[in-house]
Amino acid sequence: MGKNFKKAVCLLTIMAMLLVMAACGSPQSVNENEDTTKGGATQKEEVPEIHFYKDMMNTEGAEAGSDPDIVKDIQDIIQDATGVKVITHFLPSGDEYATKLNMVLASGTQVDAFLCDGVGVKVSNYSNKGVLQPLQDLLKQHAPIVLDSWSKEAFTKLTDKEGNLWGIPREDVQTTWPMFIREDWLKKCGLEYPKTIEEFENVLKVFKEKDPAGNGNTVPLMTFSRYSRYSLLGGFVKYGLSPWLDESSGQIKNWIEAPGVVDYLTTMNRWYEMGYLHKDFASITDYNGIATEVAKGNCGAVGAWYSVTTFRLPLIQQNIPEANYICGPITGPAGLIETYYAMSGGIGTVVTKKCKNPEDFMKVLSWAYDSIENFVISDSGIKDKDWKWADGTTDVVEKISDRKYFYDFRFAEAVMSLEYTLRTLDPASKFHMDFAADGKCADANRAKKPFDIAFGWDSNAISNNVPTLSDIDRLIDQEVIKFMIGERPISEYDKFIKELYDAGMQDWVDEYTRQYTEIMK
Amino acid sequence: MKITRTGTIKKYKANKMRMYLLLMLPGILYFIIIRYVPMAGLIIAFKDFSPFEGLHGIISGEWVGLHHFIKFTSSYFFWNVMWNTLLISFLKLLIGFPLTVILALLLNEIRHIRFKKTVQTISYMPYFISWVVVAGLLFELFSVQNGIINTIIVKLGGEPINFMAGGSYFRGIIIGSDIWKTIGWATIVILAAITSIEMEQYESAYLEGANRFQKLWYITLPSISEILVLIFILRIGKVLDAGFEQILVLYSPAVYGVSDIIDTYVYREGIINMNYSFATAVGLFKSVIALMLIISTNALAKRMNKEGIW
Amino acid sequence: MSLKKTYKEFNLFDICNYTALTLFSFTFILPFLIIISTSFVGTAEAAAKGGYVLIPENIDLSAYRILLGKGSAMYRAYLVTIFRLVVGTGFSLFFTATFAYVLAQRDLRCRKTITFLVLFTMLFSGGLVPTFLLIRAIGLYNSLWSLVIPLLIDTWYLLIMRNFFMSIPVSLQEAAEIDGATPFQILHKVILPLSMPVIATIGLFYAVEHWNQWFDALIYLEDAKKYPVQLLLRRIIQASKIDNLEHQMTSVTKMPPGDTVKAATIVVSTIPILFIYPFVQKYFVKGIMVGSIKG
Repeated sequence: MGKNFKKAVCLLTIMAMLLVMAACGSPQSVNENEDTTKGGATQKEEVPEIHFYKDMMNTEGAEAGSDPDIVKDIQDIIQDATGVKVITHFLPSGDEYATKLNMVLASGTQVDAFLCDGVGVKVSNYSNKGVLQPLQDLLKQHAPIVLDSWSKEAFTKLTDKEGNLWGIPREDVQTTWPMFIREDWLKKCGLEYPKTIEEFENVLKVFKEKDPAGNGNTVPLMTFSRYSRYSLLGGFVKYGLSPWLDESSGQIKNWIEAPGVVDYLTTMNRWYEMGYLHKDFASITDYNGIATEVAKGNCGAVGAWYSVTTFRLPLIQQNIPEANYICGPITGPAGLIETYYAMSGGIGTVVTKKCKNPEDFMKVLSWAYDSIENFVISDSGIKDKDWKWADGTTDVVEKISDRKYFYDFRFAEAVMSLEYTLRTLDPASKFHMDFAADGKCADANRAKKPFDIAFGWDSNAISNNVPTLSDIDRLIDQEVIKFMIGERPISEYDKFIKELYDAGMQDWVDEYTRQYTEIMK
Repeated sequence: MKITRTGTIKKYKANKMRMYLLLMLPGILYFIIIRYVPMAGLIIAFKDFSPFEGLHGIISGEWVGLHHFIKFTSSYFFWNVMWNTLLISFLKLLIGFPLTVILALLLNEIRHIRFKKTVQTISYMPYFISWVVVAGLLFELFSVQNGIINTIIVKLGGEPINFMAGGSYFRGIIIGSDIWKTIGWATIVILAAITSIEMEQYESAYLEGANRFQKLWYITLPSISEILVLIFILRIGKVLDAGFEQILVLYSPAVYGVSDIIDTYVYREGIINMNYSFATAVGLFKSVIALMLIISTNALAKRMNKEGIW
Repeated sequence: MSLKKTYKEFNLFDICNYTALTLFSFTFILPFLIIISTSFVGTAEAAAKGGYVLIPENIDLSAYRILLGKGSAMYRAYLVTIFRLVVGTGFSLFFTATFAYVLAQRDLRCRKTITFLVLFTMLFSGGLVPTFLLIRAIGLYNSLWSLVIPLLIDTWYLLIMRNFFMSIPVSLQEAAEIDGATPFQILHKVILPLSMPVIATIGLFYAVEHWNQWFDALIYLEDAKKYPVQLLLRRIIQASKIDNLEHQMTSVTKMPPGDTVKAATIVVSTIPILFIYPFVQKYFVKGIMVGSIKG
């Protein structure tokens, strides 16, 4: 036993040593390339560097990162154009992005700029802690093109009450919660795309009766509680999903108290009872859950974030070639059913105080915003090497190489004048790109504007002054779904509102009213 | 190498103590440096701390006293969340623990070595499937629209049951799936304990004509009772961890009322404003309760003539 | 051998037992089979059937091509994982065993105090940021050792091992002491040989912990090239629970990974570790013959 033990220890040690060398050795050998380029750069005397941090997208294969040579190519193009070398660092996405980014910031690593994804990393979490630089003057002087590329509302959401702009937007006010309906099924049933909510209900009824998917698999309407607030609520409530001004009391109130909400809850409940909604309506609560169902090809209407449908349609068409989804305006008793999507101001690119030469970063941004071609380079790689314009067009991108690239340098995301004009030949994302390129992401005929579209709430003040904010959110989510599936009778709505006030809704109303009064001054 | 009887026993003992110290030293250093030094950071529970400010933030953060504790305990859902945590946790323990012991004993009764090994290996497989994927499988299994279970219920003439969104059924799913996932893994240490029982005891029992149940009752169980008590006490210390990752991927607003636990509550709170101080305060709150529970269970174990942990 | 005879009896209890365990095994292994077969399904078929598929119509390897194809970082990540598994488990086992052995000594002064202080760390910990700052301060940041040192001794495993050591008859140790053996010799020659089941068990626990850990790599490593397998694959598996707030949806402008890729991820990251257990089981089969050592 003793000898065996010694043998085992020796073997283990040897293996450990070998593995240390293997594990440490191989990354270093890959690093060498980078080190030499870094070394070369510093020898040429000070090419200014910008260290940009962003999260990996939830894209297949992104974990492995982009091919180093395509990154180098684009980096060189940007350096030639602006004299600035941008080094992008990818961090994991989702909840872990905040964790990792905070550790990187805490460790004192040079971070010049980073992307706020709005999940855990929100502009408002950093803006009042002295980490960021205000950007209004920088942009005005060095990158006016950025200011011109977004709507005024997009900037308002990122500006505090002192007038400091803390981030560069990454999304604009947009109409991205359409009510998609299967065009082939409408035809099959001899129906038109509905114009009113009554006609829409009739479409659902016919879908339910005629069962175009067969075997009783038809789901007339696919949505879930939270998504339906964007894609349906507007039909019943004046301002849709938005805080609103209660004229009678002069207070700003939560959407849940708006006139018409009872109507909305009653309708949803009726549709659930009639079997128009998915039977698992209450337990499907996220993007993937709804996307899985849509991909099966059994859903008549889909009320969700548009990419749920636009990305799933090509999959459906692989099994059902004639399948197609269309969308249009539908009106309910209180107006259009869809509400404009006006983000909370959490998402954007920010520049840290540590960044010594923010002008350099502005130069890079100007380059990225400057032309559609620059955008496609930042999005897809080198022109005529990785992509080219499809024959006879200047807006259809055709990929011609298979170098893997995960958008290391895409600084001008979701800009209506750039990204939202492009089309593609790739069948998997053609429908998705066309939706935006056809102007359907900014379709004023289809959606109504929320009450707060033009102002930004101070979310730090809200979370400080409304201590039970997450309790209120939970109570609304929890009870609304109960009303919809009939677990709680709608007659208890008033009692529910009283519960909300027990949970601290008055603080919420007071805080929003205070901010509103301040803004109106 | 033998010491002669005349050699001083004292010297030997001093030597032995020195040797003990030497053997312990790496462990002690580890616990002091890696485990105890960072505990100084717990003061952020009483401060307003921004995570990205690092050490500077810990030292210079503004004192807020018991603010975070009060915020937590005065939350509208505090009692609901506490009740859910304790209920789910205790049900998992009180149902899962005996089942684990029974499975281990059943496995031990298998005599075909190959069969035994195969069953053991298979039983610990679910431990390696992450909760997200288990959740996906559970949704498919229990779906109302086209889940297998509900299809069977309907075929047998019953009404479909909304397992994933229907109150008490959902709690059953949480507890059942947790036991399913961890039971095989948890048997390993018990099996190790059973293996350590001296064969001679069984042999003499056999010679005295004991049957299998008598052997199990009079030899196996008493022999592993110490380790069972240890595991039980340590599990009691974790009673406020009711399974964050599991519940986060399984629950939905319709079942918040029966499944929202302390950790999911803190998670949602954290999403709103990245509040590390709040999370630390709640963590401290949990730790203090766990400490009290462990101390009392340990005392109880000692009173029942078991060794206890310390 | 009189024991042999009882082995041949096969009564009602055995029949029930074997049937029950077979049924259990079935429920335990079925999900695994579903995951394996789902990983071989093409996108169109996965879309139509929605999620998990037990019997694929066509075998499609695209999920594996995404994970293991050209330029995949998986291979290097495997090296890191194997490093931490072997070195980490070896170190942890050694230091846990020595510490547990001393804590099991009934004649050790302050034994109960030390045990309590150790147990205390199971309940109280400094939390994310302070621990991170410490790791940085002692120079482990962005080093592969940051995956090994912080996990050196697990309180729970330490206490289990101590408990096992304590159950070994004191007389054996006393006999060795009379023979003049030093504590280290006793540990090596008496305790360890008698404790192979628990050493193997705790070794397995450490190995699995090292295999599954991803969070420490996430915060302690800066260089993505040093990431272990689990961290690399976690995003793929975790991507389904991404929208807790509405505006997170805007980040979904590209297709999130499908269930087939998720399934393939599980296969790639789980199958290797499953093969460790059978090696460990070797130490579980025979009961300990204390008598033979005594003699």
